[in-house]
Amino acid sequence: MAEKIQGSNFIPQEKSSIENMDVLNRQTESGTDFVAELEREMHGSRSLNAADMFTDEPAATSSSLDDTTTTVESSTPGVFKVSPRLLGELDAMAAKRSGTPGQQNIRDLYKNLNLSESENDAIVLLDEALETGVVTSEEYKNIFRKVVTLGETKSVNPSETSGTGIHDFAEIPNKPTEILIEDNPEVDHVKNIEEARESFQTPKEVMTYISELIKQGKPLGTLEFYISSSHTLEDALQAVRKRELSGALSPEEVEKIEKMLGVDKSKSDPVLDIKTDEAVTPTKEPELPEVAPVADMTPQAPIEPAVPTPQAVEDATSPEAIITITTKDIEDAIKLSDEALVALAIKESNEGRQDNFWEKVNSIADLDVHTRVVSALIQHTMSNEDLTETDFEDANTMAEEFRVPQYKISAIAQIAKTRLEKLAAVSDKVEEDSEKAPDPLKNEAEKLISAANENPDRFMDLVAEYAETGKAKEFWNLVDSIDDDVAHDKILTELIIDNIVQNGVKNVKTTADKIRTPSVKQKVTELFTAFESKSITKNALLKELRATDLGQEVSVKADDYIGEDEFEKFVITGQINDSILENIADKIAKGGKATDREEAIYQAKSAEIEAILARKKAESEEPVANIVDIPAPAAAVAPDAEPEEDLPAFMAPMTTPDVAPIVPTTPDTVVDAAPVETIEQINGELEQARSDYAAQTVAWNAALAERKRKYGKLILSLGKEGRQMPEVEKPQELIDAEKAYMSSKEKKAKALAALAVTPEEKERFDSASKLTPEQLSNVARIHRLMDQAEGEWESLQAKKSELSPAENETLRKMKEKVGKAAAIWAKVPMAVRLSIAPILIGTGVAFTGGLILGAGYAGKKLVRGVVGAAAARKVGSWKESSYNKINDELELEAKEAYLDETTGTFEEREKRYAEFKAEEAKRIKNQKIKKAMFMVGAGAGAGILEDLASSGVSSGYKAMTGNSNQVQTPEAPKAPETVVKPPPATPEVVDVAKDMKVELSSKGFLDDIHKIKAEMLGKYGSVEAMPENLRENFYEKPSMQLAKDFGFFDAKTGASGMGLKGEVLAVDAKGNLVYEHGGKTQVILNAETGEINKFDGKMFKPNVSVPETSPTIEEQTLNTARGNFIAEDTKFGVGEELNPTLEQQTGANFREGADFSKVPPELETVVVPEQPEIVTPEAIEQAEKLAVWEDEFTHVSMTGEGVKIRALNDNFQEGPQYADVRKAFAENFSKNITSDMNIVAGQPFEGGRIDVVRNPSTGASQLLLNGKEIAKGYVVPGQNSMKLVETPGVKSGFWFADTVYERAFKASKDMIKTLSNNPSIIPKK
Amino acid sequence: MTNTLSKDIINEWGLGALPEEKQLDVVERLGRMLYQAILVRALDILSEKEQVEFDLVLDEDTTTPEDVLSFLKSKIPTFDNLVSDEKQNLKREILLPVI
Repeated sequence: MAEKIQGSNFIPQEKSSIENMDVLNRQTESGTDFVAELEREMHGSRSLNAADMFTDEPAATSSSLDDTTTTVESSTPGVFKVSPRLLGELDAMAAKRSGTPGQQNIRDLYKNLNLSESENDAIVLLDEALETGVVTSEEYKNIFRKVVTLGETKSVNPSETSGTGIHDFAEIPNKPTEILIEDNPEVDHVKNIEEARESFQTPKEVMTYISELIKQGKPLGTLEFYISSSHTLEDALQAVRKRELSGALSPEEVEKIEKMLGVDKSKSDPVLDIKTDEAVTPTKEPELPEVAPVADMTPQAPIEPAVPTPQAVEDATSPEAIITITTKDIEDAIKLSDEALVALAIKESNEGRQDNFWEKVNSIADLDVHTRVVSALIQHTMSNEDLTETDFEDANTMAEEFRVPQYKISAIAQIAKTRLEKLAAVSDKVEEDSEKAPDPLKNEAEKLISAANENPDRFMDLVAEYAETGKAKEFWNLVDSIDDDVAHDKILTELIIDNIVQNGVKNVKTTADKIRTPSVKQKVTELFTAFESKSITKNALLKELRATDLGQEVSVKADDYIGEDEFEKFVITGQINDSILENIADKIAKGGKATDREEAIYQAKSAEIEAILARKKAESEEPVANIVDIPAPAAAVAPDAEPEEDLPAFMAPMTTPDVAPIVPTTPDTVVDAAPVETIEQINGELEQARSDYAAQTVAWNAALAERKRKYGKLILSLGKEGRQMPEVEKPQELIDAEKAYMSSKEKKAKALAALAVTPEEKERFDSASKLTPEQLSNVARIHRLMDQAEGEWESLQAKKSELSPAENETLRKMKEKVGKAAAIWAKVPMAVRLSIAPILIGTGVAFTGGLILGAGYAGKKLVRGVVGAAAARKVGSWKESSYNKINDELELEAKEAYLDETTGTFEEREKRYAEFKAEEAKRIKNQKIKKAMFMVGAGAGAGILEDLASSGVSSGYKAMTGNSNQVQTPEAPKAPETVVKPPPATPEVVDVAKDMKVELSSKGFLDDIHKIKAEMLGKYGSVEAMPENLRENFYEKPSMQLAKDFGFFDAKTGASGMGLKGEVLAVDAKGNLVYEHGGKTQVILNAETGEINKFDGKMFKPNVSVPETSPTIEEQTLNTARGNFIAEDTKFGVGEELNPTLEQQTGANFREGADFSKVPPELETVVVPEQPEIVTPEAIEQAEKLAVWEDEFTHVSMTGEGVKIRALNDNFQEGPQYADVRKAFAENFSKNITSDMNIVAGQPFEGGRIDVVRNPSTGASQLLLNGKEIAKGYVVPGQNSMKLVETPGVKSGFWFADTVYERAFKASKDMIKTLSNNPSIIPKK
Repeated sequence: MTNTLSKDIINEWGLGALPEEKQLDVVERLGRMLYQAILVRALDILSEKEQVEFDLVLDEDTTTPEDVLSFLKSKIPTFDNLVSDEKQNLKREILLPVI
């Protein structure tokens, strides 16, 4: 007997009301797998896809087994199915091999095992996996046992239909839980095996014989392993017979082994019978008397036979038996299997606990099982011969439950296809019957309208299909043709609410006008008026709209809305309310039948009613007057009219322009009654929406936390620790609040986008005035919006923390984790971030634990960097190891040395650090090899070798593109933007790359020389690996010297070489340094001979007029207006850039004839020997050196207290490369202090200095980092209140690593604390 | 300089009107914001045990953003959807069309 399940119970969210259905009966009916058939037609192959989820898989495999297998399967009335748990383990193994070829191998094994039709097939697959190194011997052993003991031939009660996973699920609850646990033959079998463990000994002669067979070339390595580790005789026999099936053993050899094992073939076969019938006594091993027969080994074994009697079967499968299972039994059932859980969930459904149904289904942790269950339910729903729209919707709703998106999409597509076919079939039938081609749309519309009258909520989804496809008229036709005023008005009200939530109170008045029930229409109109007059807020408006009791209004039928009093008044006075006349006119227009009172009124007021009718007709024919207030088209619209118009705004298909620049969002030019809100109003609305959303979120999180706690406890008690709780649907209140919040945020964003660029933004994004006003506006706008997004997020978190201490604690933990992750983001070089960011924001996600290559970023260096970084992590990553510790210590030492200014010049330190990194690569490689050798020796080499392969020690690696998860070979880049390069050559393999080149940048030749050096180091892997001549003549020489030697800079005249955009500095295949410009290649440095051919291009000095013939320079002036002696405001030709002069790069030179009288008097000569690029050791007059500091490095700043001070520019405040600049600034700082400043304390910081300036009378103080005010407050005896200033750039984002200013602030805390407690500095009053 | 961002990215995120250098700045920041949003969402999904594992990953000095994302992807079956959702949210925040 099969259990009955109400169809509606299958549907999440309780949306359906379809008839009761019988799961098991339907599943066994012919034709129930028609969806699967369709899938098979579509896909045509058997793979792990949506077709499988519809396919009655085990049944299919069962039939094939009948054809292809022999002894085991034929005598066992079960089917082979790999345990989902085993498959889960394999999946986990694949995850561990993430990013290596091993991952794919495991996936293949997973797939093949899943498709195995017999245990023998599975074992053969496993053998191959072991022999090919896909799995280790330990893994093999583990998997093998699970295949044999958990996943193999499944026992099925002979009285039951053998077969499908669906059947399995349904059948399990057919017995009470206690039967499942105590009477299940499988359980007994497992117990028997447990008892037999360590009691069975494989006879030596068997092992000897197998060894001989192996020597003869028989592939019996795994048999030897398995039989030696068998715990029971039956295990051993099974292993032997599987080899017979695979042909590895001949029947004679099997017989011989069986004899050695003491098996008499004339008796019953314990191996084959053990799982199907306990009544069969297994063969007892005479030589091993301690091994008891299986039946005798069962502790407290039930005396009665395990095979159920016909009556027992009937009892167990009867509905009464199901009902005996209590809810409490669910936990016990979960312990047994996910299938049991499913069956019990169905029981919950049968008993009317619909909520429990999907909760149980969705609590199925195993993906495969969950997929099969959902598939079964869809299949069941779709098996209805007379499918209705409700069925399709039910199926669609179920499909949403798939966890695998592809399954979901495929299922929905399949359902849609079936629906269309069904509709076509209905059409054909109507055509046959009436000989008149029906309008499919009409046919469908009738169905939809019928559905709407049953369930307006669901109808909303259906009509949305028309909206999404741009069929506005069909959409409105459907809505207008709804007879039921309640359903009609409810839909309109929902449309209005949705529109307000998403787009504000616009475009809804026409929709409101279409409301039929006068009182509802009047109420909605009044609400709009109240909102427009600001009497109520938007949230209040929404709340009122939602509270509109349509049901109550609907009960006011035409005959009733003209009340007794109203009608009596009309009879006496002849006066009647206008709304009643309107209503009567509407009814006449629709051809409705008038009531007696309406008829009477019409007779008396026919002229007025006719006038209303005429007006309405005219209105319906007139074009839309207000383009914002989009009306619904009249009901009688020609079917072939333009379909694109008149969609409600929120349903209009979203279009994306080919190029979507950030366009300033200006206030709407066409405004309906909604007033333009001020920023204060917008902020107020946002605050309210944020508060509502925070409250809803906190409440939801609290509920979720409780559920998680219970789930975690349950899972833990089941020994399934670590599972994620299935996703739980959000409540509608939260969804609404979220929509309203998002809408408010968008409104705020629009207001911000319309703002003009502020001076602060100008300073922040274009301090050098290089951008056009439009560019600056765009840059400022998008950053403003991003600032807003980040700030709003923080405000939301703060609000949530404020509402709930528990939330606060949760956020604290979250912040800790995300803060760490954010620091990880911040610490990687910009180039690496720029390789990840485009992938994240782009069209694909390619983070699979393996290597990634930027799809959007083509920088060779960074790509190599990413590959190198990924490679370096492959061995021993995420785990503490001795190698890691050693490496970490060495790295730390190297970094310290690099940052220690006393250990040499910047260039010397940089060189040493580069050498260290090169050595490190060698060291890590050797460590990997050692580790690999060790692991290979232990029999686990495959994985680590794959690691090595992928990490660049060998040449093979796989690259993931940014657009797909498909593995690409490096030789086949798909897109021109995607540059896939092999990993960097190891130091031993020196291969001069032909593309070792840099394009000239706007920073000048000196910068280009630095870059080409970096390219060289990256390419060769180490300094030692470079060609000797190139190393000595180029790499190891100071870049400044090279610039002069190569003629890029003339120190005598101060002239610099003029480079153009697109020109290249490169190292060619011979190792020569070449300069490609003007279509020719000039060898600057001959690597073999050391010969130098100086730059022969144009030289220029800023104060010299630019030749008119120059195609690129339009204007170059010397701007001295602000005492700036560096050329600026230089304009370049479109698309061209000019290398700045070397003096611009270095600040080393000066302009002839410059007005040095404007040099700030507080500045003096500064000698920075370690950084010749900053101030050259050339004999430059004092005034010339001073010029270096003005604007280029410093600016005059004003503290919050009105103190003028010279501060170091922001770009030099951070980074070891500017430590010398900071040092120079610090040395000169004493000249920076004016008499009105009272510096009370100071300390060095990252090369520069931190100072505290304090007003002695008020205690008001400022903290300065290299002159820049970064914090302020009061330092008074015993306490201080210094806080970071709100200046942009001082604070980092919520999650991200501290800025240099935050670091400085933290570093100064002790100093300030000491200061505030030091009476000698700050005397107590 | 060569254009280092794909046209798809530039078009999709409305960066065409920005100078190249600023495009990169914006893309880096967008990536960072999305990375952050993904982390926040993911932490809600991970089980307690996975959170502990995640802590170990985060505490490892050699961990990179790629590792972080790879870890999350390995643990969350719906990771791609999650990323897509957050991407759409971010677009709405900065007033870009959501496809």
